[in-house]
Amino acid sequence: MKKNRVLAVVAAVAIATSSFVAFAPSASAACSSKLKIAYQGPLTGPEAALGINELNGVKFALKKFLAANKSANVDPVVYEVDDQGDPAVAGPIAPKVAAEECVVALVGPAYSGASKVSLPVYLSAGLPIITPSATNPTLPSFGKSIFHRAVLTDDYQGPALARLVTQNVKNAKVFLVNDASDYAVGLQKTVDITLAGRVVGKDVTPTGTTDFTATIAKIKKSKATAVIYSGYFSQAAVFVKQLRDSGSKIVFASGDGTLDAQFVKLARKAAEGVLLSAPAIPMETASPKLAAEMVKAGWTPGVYTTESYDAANFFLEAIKAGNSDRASINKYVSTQSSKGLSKVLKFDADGEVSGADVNGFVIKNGKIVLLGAIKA
Amino acid sequence: MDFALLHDAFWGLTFDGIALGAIYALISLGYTLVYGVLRLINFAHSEVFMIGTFAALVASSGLMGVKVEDEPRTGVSMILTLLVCLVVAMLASAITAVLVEIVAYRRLRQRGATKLATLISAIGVSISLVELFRILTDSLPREFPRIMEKTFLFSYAGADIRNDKVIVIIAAGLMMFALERFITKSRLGKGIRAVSMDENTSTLMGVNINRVITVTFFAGGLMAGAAAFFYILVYENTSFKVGFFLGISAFTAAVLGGIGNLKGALFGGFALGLMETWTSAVFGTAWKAVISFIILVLVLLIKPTGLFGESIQQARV
Amino acid sequence: MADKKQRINLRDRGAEYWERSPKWRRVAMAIFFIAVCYALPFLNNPLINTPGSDFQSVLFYPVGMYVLMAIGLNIVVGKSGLLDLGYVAFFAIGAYTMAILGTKTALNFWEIMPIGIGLAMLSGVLLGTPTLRLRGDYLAIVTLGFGEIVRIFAVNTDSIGGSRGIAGIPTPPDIFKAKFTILDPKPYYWVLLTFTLLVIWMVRRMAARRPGRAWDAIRQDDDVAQLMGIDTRKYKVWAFVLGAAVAGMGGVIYASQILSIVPDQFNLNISILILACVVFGGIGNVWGVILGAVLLAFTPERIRFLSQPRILVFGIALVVMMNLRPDGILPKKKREHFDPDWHTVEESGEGQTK
Repeated sequence: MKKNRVLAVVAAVAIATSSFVAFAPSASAACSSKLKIAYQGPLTGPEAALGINELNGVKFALKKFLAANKSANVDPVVYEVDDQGDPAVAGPIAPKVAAEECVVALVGPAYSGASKVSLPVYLSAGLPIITPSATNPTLPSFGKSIFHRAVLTDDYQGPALARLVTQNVKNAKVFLVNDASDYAVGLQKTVDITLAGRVVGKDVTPTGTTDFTATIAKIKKSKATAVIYSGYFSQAAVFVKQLRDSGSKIVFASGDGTLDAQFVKLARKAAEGVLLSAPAIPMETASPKLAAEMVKAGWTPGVYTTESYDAANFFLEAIKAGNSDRASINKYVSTQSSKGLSKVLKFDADGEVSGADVNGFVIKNGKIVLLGAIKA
Repeated sequence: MDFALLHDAFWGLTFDGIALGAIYALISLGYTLVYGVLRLINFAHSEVFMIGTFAALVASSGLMGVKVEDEPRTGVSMILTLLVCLVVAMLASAITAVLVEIVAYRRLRQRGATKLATLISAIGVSISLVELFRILTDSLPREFPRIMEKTFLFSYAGADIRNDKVIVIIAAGLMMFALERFITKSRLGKGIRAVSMDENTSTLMGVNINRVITVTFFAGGLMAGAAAFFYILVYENTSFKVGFFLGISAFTAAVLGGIGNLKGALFGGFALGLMETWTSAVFGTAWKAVISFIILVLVLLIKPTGLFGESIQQARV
Repeated sequence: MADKKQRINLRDRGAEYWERSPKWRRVAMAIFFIAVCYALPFLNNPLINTPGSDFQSVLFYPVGMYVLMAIGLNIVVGKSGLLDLGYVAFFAIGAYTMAILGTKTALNFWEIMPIGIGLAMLSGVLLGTPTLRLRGDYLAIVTLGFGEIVRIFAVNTDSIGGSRGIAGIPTPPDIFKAKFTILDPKPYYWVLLTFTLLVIWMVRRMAARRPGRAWDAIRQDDDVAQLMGIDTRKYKVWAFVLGAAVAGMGGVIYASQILSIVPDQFNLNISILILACVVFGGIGNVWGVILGAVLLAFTPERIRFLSQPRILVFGIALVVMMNLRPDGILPKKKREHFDPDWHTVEESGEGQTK
């Protein structure tokens, strides 16, 4: 009996000790297999639609590149990083991605909140990133030299959204509503400044609000002729439906968080005439030919697909030019330029693009219709 | 703080608050009934509600063939469609509630487990149901077709009285009345009251505990299902998360009124609906949950068992 | 009343073994156990590894952090029987203290720690004093409300960052040569572990003395305890405040690692999860609680490969576990009291608890 017990203890200790491996330094060894392009964004969870749209853009770019460059040392499979758009999820995942030696470039993160948490990790690991949709203006301070952004920030979208409304509504008296999220508060701030004296009231409806009665009462009392909602499509749909059901016919406008086919589906009749802004361009508009090709390849372009396609392509061009490690790829995208579908990607010292437009959209007959660039 | 708004839009806000309160009241009835017989917070009740909304959705598209793009129906077709959706929602919720009892509570109850253990089991069920529906709906909200055209019946002192909200208030009132009749007059109802007062003596008097508990869950589920239908009628949209937000409000309402006490749940529900609507107008929608909780704490400090609660030992079901 | 089968009660077996061991063996076991804990980050075993997320990060959060918080909540729920559903609020207060003071003043992590703990304790007093006279479920809803209030307040108050939260929280200053950076969770983990061991030691000491006995009495029957002359109010607030202190401590450490916080991270789900850790492991019992926390924090990460149904599996596991082991994984053997609020009547009349 005693012998068994001793054996058991010895066995346990042996197993335990063998589990401990000397900690290998995390210096990035050279990649021994193909180079990988990573995509980070929400691939599951409520925001998954956006993540999947962007991921498809990356996949499409990769597919076309490999078709044209059969001998390239690039993995045909995108390294997918699912952060659910949530900083709490992104936190523990980022170091793992950074430690993957073969991941030499990352498209994303899609959301600003997740970016804030991931960027310091990627900065330490020297992993270059180009985000196609994270619009928070403070991100360059987190990502510094590795940070690049393929869209305009909310500092630009806000004023454009405001102008979209004032251009479409004469003598607009605007009521502002936001959903208390990071993105919405930031967006509304710049909208507010641009609108100056035209703002007649504000309200905050945190995510999860189902009953907008009080807000609508406020809007009616303020005699506003337009309401600008900063937030995401699911709540925007609920809000606009209740607004219309209360009898109000005032103009409803919102930003890129609402620009989604799901919004139209959820709000149905209430979505008619809604004005939307986004620093994104639908692929069908940018290049109908490529959009059709993408559909044939098995993916439907959505919001920000064009931007993530451009981002992925920029990285692929860097690899084609002979760069195969993070530092040189980062140098390439930081200094060179790439002619993308949405715009020419030339990043300034902060990693931002210039020379791009914020586009305006309107929902007509149940479809999102591009109005064109919002003029200054 | 905008008291002027509350003053100007008072009747409108009050009417909407009552409609919202009707929905809360129906859900809190479920919490209170279960608490009365089991002395347990049924954490999974919010998901019973959520499932009711999806059942109504499936009933409308699957059974009655309504497509989202359709025009609203009228006349007999409309009434029939609405009734079918209501009944399906109620049954689905009731069956879910009973299943929850069997899966999560029964075994623990019979083994004499601690309340905390049962609470965790309930939480596990709640998490599982939410996740199940999250996966089924791909995390996206779903819309409910407009079966009944929403029109304004009349205006009273600035308040626009809408037909769907009127229906909700009246129908909810009828349900509550029916439940009260059931509890006071029927044999099973008396059984429920007996068990909630004294379980051991009831058994000695020949009450079948398991049956009573099953019926309690069933009844609570029926009410939640009705609430689910009314909710989806007014707001026309649901998601896997919908149970959570409404659940907390309804639960707060039940405690406010005195948990274990039917009248308390009713009063608490309406009171909370009104409170939330008024405080949203005055303080802004962002603060409404905070204000509601503060009011709850104040009430509990003055009357530790809720407004209508007598003492914990004595549950008035 | 006897258990139907003779179940092997690990905890009591372990306690017996401990009692019987001579001092040297106890010391050796303790040192071995502690050494293993410190060496955990170097563990590289396919059974344990977390695919998809960094093992060492996971060890720090959620595993290590949940263990610490579960121990804290155990004082409130497990030892004293006070149902707290808003525990995350104290964690948030600690984290925000670190965030605000770290970004706005020149204080460093070690200086902010006592302030964070102090503020959490203060909130414990403020919340506890008026509400602890409420019973059971009412206390639960009030504490739940408090947790939500703290979160909503943080979301709506721009001066503390609003919904954007606070970013740029400084890391702790280097200790000897160990640098605290975001890429390397190990130093954070060791700091957390050290604090956790201190808390365990402190709790065990208190449990053995008057406070512990008072808590036991309060948990078993509040009224009787009062009649016996125990100042239940004082001890309840104590328990509450201690629990809050532990959570606040965790919050400060957490914020200094994650470098940016948003209020929505501190939500009801975390309160519920920590409560689940306490119940799941075995209420009142430090080792059970630790095991429960480790399992509940670790499992979702370990099964990340399931991706979609991950949390669903977790929820089902909770239900199954609670039904199979309602007293927790490592319960105390003796069923100590009859809960008058919880009647059980077997249909066949056997196994009556009275």
